[in-house]
Amino acid sequence: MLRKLAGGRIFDPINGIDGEVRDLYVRDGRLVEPPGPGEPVDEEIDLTGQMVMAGGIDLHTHISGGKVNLARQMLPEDHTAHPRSRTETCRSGSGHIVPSTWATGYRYAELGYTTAIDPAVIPANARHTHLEGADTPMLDTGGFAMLGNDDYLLRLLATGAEQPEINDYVAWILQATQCLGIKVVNPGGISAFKFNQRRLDPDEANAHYGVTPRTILRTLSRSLHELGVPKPLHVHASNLGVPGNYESTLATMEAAEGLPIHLTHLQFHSYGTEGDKGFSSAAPHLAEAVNARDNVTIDVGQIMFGQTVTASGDTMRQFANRANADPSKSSLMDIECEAGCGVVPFHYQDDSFVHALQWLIGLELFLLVEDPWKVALTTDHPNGAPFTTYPHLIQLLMDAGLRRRALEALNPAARKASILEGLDREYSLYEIAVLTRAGPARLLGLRDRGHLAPGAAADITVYADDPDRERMFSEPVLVLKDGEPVVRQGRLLRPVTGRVHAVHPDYDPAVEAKLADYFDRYLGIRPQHYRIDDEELAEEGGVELHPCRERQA
Amino acid sequence: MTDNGSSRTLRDVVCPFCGLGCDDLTVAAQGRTLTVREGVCPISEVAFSAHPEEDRPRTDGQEASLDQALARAAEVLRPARRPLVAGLGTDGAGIRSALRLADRIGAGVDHLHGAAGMRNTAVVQTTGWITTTLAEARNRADLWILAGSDVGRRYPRFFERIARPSETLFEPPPNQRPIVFIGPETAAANLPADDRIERIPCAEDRIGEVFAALRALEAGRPLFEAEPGGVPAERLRALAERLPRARYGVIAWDAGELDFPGGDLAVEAITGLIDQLNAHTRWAGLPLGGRDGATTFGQACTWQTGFPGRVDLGPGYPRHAPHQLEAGRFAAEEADAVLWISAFDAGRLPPDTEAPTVVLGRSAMAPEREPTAYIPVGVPGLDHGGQAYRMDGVMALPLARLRESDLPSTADAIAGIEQRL
Ligand code: SF4
Ligand SMILES: [Zn+2]
Repeated sequence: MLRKLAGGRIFDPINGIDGEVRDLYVRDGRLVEPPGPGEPVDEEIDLTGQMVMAGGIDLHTHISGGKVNLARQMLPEDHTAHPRSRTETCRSGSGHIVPSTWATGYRYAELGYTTAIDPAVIPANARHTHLEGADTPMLDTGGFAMLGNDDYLLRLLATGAEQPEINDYVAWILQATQCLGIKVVNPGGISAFKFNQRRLDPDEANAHYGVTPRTILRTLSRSLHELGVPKPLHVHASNLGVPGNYESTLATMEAAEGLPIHLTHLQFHSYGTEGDKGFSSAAPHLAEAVNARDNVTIDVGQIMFGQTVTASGDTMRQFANRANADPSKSSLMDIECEAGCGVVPFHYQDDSFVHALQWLIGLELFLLVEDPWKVALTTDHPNGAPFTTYPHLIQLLMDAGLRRRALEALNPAARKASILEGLDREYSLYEIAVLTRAGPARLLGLRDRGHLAPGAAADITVYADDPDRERMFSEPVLVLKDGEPVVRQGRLLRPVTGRVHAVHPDYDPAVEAKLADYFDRYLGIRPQHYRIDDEELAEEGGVELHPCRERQA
Repeated sequence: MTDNGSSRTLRDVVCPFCGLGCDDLTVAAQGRTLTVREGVCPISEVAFSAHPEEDRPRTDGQEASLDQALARAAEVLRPARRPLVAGLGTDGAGIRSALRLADRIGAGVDHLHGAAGMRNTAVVQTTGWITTTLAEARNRADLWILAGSDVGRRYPRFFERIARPSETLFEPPPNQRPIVFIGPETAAANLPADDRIERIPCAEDRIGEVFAALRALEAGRPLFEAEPGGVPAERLRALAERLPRARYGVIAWDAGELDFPGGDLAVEAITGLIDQLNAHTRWAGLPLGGRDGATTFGQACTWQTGFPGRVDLGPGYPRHAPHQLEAGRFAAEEADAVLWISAFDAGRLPPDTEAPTVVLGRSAMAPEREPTAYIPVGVPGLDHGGQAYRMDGVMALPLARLRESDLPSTADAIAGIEQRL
């Protein structure tokens, strides 16, 4: 069936199209060339006056896996307060901050998103993450496997293993977990916390292994580069939330030694120590550092005021953050000699100096990093705020007047400590399309996503040209997933299944024997039970593999 | 299915029964008869070999075809206004399918170990907790406290695989790690002979008092009793002094055994002590459990509905009902139809009820009251593949099919019922 999407204004930054009126054609789930003369169009959808973008891609959102489920378990109040009723075609669900899987998929689609990447897949928990993925409708999914606090890698580094041996292990982990990239969280710090270290700076050694965060960052960024994995190392830097942590953040950028590196939720890592309260914005400083480096990309992790919950792999920092838990409860977990997780509810308040400044710092980063291709729009859902706040965040980026009005409600001291009031930049729709689909697709190495040229997957979102941008992005007029309409006027038409995006870089099979020995002696599980076969992902819509560049070492 | 006489040896078999998740079993298969040859324990020995014959479906007490039984099950569930879907002792796909059906018919949901799940959940919901996983504890624990659990009987390979493995990544050597057991003599009798296991006798239902006293001692507060929980204060004082000196202490409990009023408060006393100790050193809890798919259920129910069990889908959306949805009470007093699932254990029988009941059970199940429809299903990990969570909720292990079977899986049977609704 050939569908024609006629007369919409196209925002397709990957192909350099900025609001031009064009027709799009869709067949068998893909965008296709215009039909030849006499070739019939089966359905024409008139999009005159509407704004057309590729489906949204969230490259950092905690929507599945063990720690999200732990957060759900801890917050019955969120689920009781936000029920979602079953319909003829849709499952019931609940929750606003950490919604159940069905509710998550439906809500993302209702906002025009068609792909969501879970950035923190603990390898031992990967099967769980994929099982949740199978129950998360509407979305293509993918994950970043967490390394850098696992005993196996730290042991390799402590004993001076060569880079190729590490590359084999990293490649094995990517295949075993069916993930799209690698993330490191507080490099070496989650492990250090298990040895009762309470803080770890980039050049400080883990007490047991003698390995520094800098070494871990250098080795892993190099590993992905040499394996040809498109997605740069995804980094949650040391000292999250600590005043003065911008220095660790700069050291983290440097540790990649010029190789590609992505700093996630940079907002939480952009704090100085100036002022009477010893807490200040280092966003201008860090934005300048990002602007000056071609190898660095970021996402912001904007906070929004209101109730949320933080769910992080960073047990070391979450243990410290327990002091600010609101409501006052928290959970931590040490996991399988490879990782950890911590869940701490938070209530961000605009009259709090610290919270208000966090809000300001996030926006400063958005506005000061010059190249939109270097920035992805995130709230680090749910850590900064639930993903449902994206339309409001977009409006803040597009409207300096709105920002200034919002400032009036803020803690005055925080307001004074920020340069936001003087920042006039307003994002264009084209730039928003970069931040929310084109940029993330490029960063992830999803070549047929995030754009609208023939051959791309027909994940397409159509918005009304509403001057109220929050309303515009809250209620897409139409969303197509794989070429089929799934949402109209912000309302779900029917559930569909997405697929899993992954990479399978090559490894030397010799690594398998070493891992089998290690697993058997220490972990008490067989590697074949740890790894996930392609067939296991059938229910999740199957796995779509993305090519890696040729392996270098 | 006939016994074709050929014998096969299956290696690296995952055991889905007690929740410990041993994945190193060697099993001999002769036709449908399975015998665990290596990695055996008293539970797996029986659970793999029990009743290899396959039952036939029955409707209203008469043998029936699978098709007839599925149709009869649909007839029971279709008109129900207050159905109950319970038991749920099965694999991941079976549980997820059962939740889908429950959502569709607006059922109440409870797992057969729902009471144990709610004791832990009460603590997670009110204070949260600090926990660890099996491999982490195995490699790191330098002081173990077993809080009341009859570990030797309920998790027979716990010592071999977790508390006393042959090798660990970190010091001290595994055989030198002190283990303190606090609990009833009956459970102490099932501990291995090991001079590094210390036994502190304590009645099952007084565990919470002991941990409350340890909390007080650890915080430097006075004790008001000579024998908190029946344990001489001196003994607790000596233990309390050792706690902060551990580098990574682990306290294990099994909420399924804390089956007395205030069982959740006993859990909270344990996790509260752990919380305090983490101010200076590292301690973590290890909640034991997970038989009959309890951990799998807790995870899947949480991600699908937002609540970890005892959920009412009657309103058209999930509502948490930890007391109302106790399956036995709900079946007796509210339900007008019951779907009971126990695919691992034929001995887990449906609740007593006047309401028509559909049973998806492991062959040889003998309910006291004949179900309206009885559908024998395959045993996950024996008759069909799937996934089962280990007790720590982190590892979901893949299950394999070990023998030919004509029985539907739980998920197949439920899909069959749904088609006929
Ligand atoms: S200890 Fe538990 S998991 Fe291990 S073999 Fe026995 S029953 Fe199975
Ligand atoms: Zn994150």
